[in-house]
Amino acid sequence: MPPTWRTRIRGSILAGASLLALPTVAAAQGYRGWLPENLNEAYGGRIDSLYVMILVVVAVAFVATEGVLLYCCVRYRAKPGAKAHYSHGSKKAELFWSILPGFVLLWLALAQRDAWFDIRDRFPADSESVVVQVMPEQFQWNFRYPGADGKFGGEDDVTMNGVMHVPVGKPIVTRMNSKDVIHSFFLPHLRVKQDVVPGMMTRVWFQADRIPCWDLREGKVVYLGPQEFDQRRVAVHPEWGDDYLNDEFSFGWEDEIPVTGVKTYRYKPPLTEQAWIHHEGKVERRPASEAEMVLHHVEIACAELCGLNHWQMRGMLVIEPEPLYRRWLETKAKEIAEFGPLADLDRWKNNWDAFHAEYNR
Amino acid sequence: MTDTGEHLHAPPTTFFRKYVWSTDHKVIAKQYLFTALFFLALGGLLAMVMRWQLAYPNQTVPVIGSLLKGSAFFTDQGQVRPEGYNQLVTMHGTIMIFFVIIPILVGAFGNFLIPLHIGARDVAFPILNALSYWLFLPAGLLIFASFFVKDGPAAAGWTSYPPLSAIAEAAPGSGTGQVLWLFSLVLLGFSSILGGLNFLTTIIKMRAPGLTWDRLPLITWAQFVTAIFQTLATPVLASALVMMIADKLLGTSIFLPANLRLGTGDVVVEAAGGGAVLLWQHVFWFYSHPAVYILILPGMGIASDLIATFARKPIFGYKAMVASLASIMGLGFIVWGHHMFVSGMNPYIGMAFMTSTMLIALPSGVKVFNWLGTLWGSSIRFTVPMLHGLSFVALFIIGGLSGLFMAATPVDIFIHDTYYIVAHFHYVVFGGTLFAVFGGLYYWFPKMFGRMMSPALGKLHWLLTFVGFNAAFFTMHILGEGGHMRRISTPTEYEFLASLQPLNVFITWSAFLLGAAQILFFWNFFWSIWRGKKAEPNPWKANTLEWTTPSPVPFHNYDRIPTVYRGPYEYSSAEADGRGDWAPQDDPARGAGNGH
Repeated sequence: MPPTWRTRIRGSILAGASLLALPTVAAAQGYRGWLPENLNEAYGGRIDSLYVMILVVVAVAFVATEGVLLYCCVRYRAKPGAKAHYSHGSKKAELFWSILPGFVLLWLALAQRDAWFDIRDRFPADSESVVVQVMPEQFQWNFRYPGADGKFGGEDDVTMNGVMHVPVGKPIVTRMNSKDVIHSFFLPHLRVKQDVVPGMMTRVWFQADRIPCWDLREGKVVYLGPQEFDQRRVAVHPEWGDDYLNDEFSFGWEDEIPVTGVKTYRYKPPLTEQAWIHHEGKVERRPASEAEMVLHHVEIACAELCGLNHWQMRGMLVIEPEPLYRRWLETKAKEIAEFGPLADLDRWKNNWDAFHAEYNR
Repeated sequence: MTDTGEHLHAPPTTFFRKYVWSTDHKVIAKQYLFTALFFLALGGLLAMVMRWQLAYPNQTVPVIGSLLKGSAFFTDQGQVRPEGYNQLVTMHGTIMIFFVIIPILVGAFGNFLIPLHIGARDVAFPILNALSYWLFLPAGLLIFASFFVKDGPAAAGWTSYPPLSAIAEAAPGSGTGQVLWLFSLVLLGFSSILGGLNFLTTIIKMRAPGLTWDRLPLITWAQFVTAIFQTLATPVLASALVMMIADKLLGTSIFLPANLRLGTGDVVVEAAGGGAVLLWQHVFWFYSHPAVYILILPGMGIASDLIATFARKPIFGYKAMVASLASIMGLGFIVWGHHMFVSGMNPYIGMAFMTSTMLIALPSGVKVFNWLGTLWGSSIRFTVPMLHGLSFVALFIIGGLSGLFMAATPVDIFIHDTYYIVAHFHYVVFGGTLFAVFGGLYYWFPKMFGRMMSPALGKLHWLLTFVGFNAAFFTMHILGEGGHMRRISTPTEYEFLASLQPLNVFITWSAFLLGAAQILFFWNFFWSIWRGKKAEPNPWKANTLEWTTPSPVPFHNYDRIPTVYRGPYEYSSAEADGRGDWAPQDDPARGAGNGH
């Protein structure tokens, strides 16, 4: 037996792993990588840190194994006169590299447990949350909010196509059912993904803790906590409607589809010189030039192939301070009181209430 | 063990019996191989078109787009149509899995190698074997024909989730195209079951004298375990397919709930209802997760053979290698739910599936460690097959490790159905399996065709493939981390993906490099069949039985059924001294011993 070749394997793997572990862990602390901004402080950060934790384990294993592989390729390339060492292996080495990864894997599995059940099983009570119904279809996201009576299925329900409103910092619970094929409710910035399936109700909960705003000076999105939002001058749409983008007092969100390359998005100034600007809890009509930011949104996508225009199934999630959210609901309620139920309500009645009244509870 | 008082048939003389309805396992293997290579080229081409669309959405596809404009997947201007993109995705996956990887691994390598490796003259049921191929070919023709039917081929992904796949009106391609897809896979399933039964019987009953279970090459073990998967899991797929056919053609609603209304027009779907959408996913993945192991286990077997042979060293821990194959098989049947973590399945079941999934990483890890152990202290010959064998290990490590992210349920919430998944399974199926397939083809080519492939071209092909593959697929992890959904035709539609678009362009050009490199392989392969250097019986100085018979292998494989005296990987042993560093399995010269 040549001297300690077995310990050499063990030694190198251990040495390689421990050499790498420290810098990797250090680097991983602030790892954001290419992950979209996380706005869900209820559990988004936990998903991200579990991701980073696995990344660290994987990085150590990767460097150790590929390192040994590379080392062997250099060190043990065939040389004239050299002969391979005849051996059928070592029970001890095999036990070592079965048991150690076994524990690591089991530990990884157990480490997911609490986060998984908090996300998928421990829902906040309806009474403390905003409950929204989601009924996707080819190829659009539909949302419904209970009206003033707080119950789904009434004439005063608020319906939306493509745009979902949520108040900042409050648990949101969705009840979802598809009326045609499987869609998947994906909010990348909230770390939410849940298939929406015909014939059964799926649910998901999340919390949006920061508000996406478009910084007009920097020309990019920033994410503000409620206090910070209050201190800035943010152009908002106080009377959100389906056609709010055309509101003459609003900064319009427009996209340009170039012949080649990436679609670019920007805000165009309002048609008038004035805009609705939110500052320190008040919304006032002020000169548009005072606005530092525009209240922006994050995207909703469908993550399950759902047919012809699956790629176009893009929605918007508007996160706003609770007073603005209330004001949006009140505006809708006024609209309903004045003009009768919203046009889309019939489709909800025919497709949801008629078959799934139990989902309204 | 076989008896030796045998009656041999004369080789067939007519063209039809020799090349078409042949019962010779070597000819059937080549039939599978050529068919699968055709589909490999086709499936690769589909991927190239997809990549063009992802980098340059809605721009005219060069060459192919202008040739096929207004037909198949293209608009009159030669751009990819949105439904065309969904069909490309679906057909790329279906073709690569069912008509390339499985037929090459099992149909070509299994058929060619199993009888040779166990010292038999053919498989146990040669006619059944021919029938397997002649069910596979029409299955391929049906899939190919579906490109030309009204509304084109199936478009619901290779997983064909209902209701999208089950309702003809739900998507262009969910009509005739999807029906052809279903019938094609039913035929393929039967072919697979027949093949599996045949291989199991062959390996159990027909091993040469002295060829005990612990002297089988690991590729044969891998085929054995794969055959068990095929025999037990494929009937479940077949039942799922038949149920979906019933839903589509006979008016049942096994997978359809009541009251479906399509799209914003609320088009009423005529279905009795009462079915469950998730049922398909359970039944489909009950087959298709084991199918993932059908896709990788023979690759692992090939890699083991290549590594031991060119490292000139016995496999480190042979028994552990076999045990890990067996435990992958056992666990492989209870992990299917990890494809369904966000499907709406009960989270408690999700937890159980996560634990079994984490555990199945263990036997794969043991295999990697044992390959490294084999290389430790070896004497590596960097031949073209060995470059592929080593690449298999290097890339399988990445594919295996990236699997841990999606096994972790909370993390999977974010990366599920993103390019993370696409990166992961391409590292396993392309980085792993296809590299093993290339390595295996370079390695056994002399046995198949009696000539050598060009090593210079082979090395260039390997280098470009390795670079192109990693550039394309490693980058996809980053797309996945950014949340890029898989199966969307136009990523530029999304604001949050805008910063990722340069990566999409980079991936596309890397994929083009990868695709172009395969021309070298095809050229080398077909040129060498006729023009390659004549091969000697044992050009690699390898131990297993196939190298003891001439190249190409004669009709009856062996003049005399060989007797086996030792294990397959006795390189550099004391027994080998004096002849070089190898000790053929059938050589009695230095006495018996299985070396384990």
